Amino acid sequence: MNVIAKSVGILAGVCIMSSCGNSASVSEDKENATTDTTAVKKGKRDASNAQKVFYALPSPIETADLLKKAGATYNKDYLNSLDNSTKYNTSAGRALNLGVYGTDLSFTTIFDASSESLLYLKKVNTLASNLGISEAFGENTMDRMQANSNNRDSLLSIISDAYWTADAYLQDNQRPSTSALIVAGGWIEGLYIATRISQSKNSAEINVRIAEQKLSLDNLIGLMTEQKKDQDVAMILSDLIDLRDSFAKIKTSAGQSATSTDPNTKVTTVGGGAKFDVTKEDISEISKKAEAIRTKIINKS
Amino acid sequence: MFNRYMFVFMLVCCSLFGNNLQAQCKSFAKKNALPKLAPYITNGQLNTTTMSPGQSADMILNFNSGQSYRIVVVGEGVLEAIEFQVMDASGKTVFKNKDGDTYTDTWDFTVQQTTQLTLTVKVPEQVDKTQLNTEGCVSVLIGFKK
Repeated sequence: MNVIAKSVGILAGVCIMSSCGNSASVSEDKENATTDTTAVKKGKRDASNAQKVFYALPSPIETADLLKKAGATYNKDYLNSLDNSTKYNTSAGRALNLGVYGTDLSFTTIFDASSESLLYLKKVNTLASNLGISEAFGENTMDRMQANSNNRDSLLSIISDAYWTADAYLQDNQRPSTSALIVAGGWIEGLYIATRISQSKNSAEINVRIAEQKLSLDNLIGLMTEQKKDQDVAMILSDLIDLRDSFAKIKTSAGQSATSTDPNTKVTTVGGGAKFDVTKEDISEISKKAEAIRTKIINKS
Repeated sequence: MFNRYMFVFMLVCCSLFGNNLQAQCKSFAKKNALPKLAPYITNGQLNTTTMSPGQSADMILNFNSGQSYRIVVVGEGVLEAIEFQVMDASGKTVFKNKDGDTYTDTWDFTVQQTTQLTLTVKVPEQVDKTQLNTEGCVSVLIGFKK
């Protein structure tokens, strides 16, 4: 009985210590979040009041959709060559390029290039398997995509759900730095494609969409900063901070704040926001840096 | 000898306990939060954490003009109703989910100009202080619609 009582006491003590570990990680996240104040616009809100801060980014599907609406046309030359996949032998190379190929998959799907979508999906599946997250992009996903190959909306949902599953798996298995690298690779590829489209089309609307990535970049830097102890994350983070300096040159002005809610649909329209006065020089500088970072990523083993 | 084996066994059990909470949160998000997002498409990021009464979490979000969005915030049953509010870059509140005693768990919206918003999620303080401090999963999902 004494042995049992002692064992229960030790069990309680160890479990209390385990749950304290969770609080410590929340406090640590808070500490990391406050080291990058640019992730939160300077204003009345102080993110450090919260126990935890999340940084969310638009999905590559959304970015592709915005560019298509702005008049972009599909060009497979903008995408990372499928042949490059043989280079990716390290965890970091695979994670970054899982993001890259995921964005390419989003573009092929948005632009209804269905045969290429399946090819990019296969590459995504291979890299995901190599990273141990095959459940997200495995046979089931492939089968669903083939079954819905003529339904773009269904394809987009399937891809988004797969990335959500992958992110959930990585968070579950204490691999947030791998998740951050995937997000970073995807974001850079999206920016690179947008700048290539801008070079061929020179559309004011596309240039504004590029300029708007300034806000997402702040969040991406916030997300990466939390994982900066990982040397691969630190390397990309350094490049992103340099890129941010180019985005900082874009002039912005605040819109008038007027928010209203439709009483029938209950949908709110949020006023305000930012207006971007972007120049050709701004786009040129951002394009060069985006290309340099992207080249580094797609050539990383 | 028996005590030593017992101690190691309990250590292993407790280390698994932390991982199990995470896995439960993922299952909770998939089962309880993800369905509420339809017909909006998820942004592909899992934003789930365990929270206790009195705690809050912030999410920094960017939204593009020309798109429609939905935010879903769901708390696990052991927590009381989850409060959330959304503020614009100037700190002005643009949405609060609490209306009297009612808490909605979704918010649909569009933005006039591409903008950054801050979502704050808060678990209200425990009303019954005699209960042991409970903690549970809170999931935040973001979706967009073309």
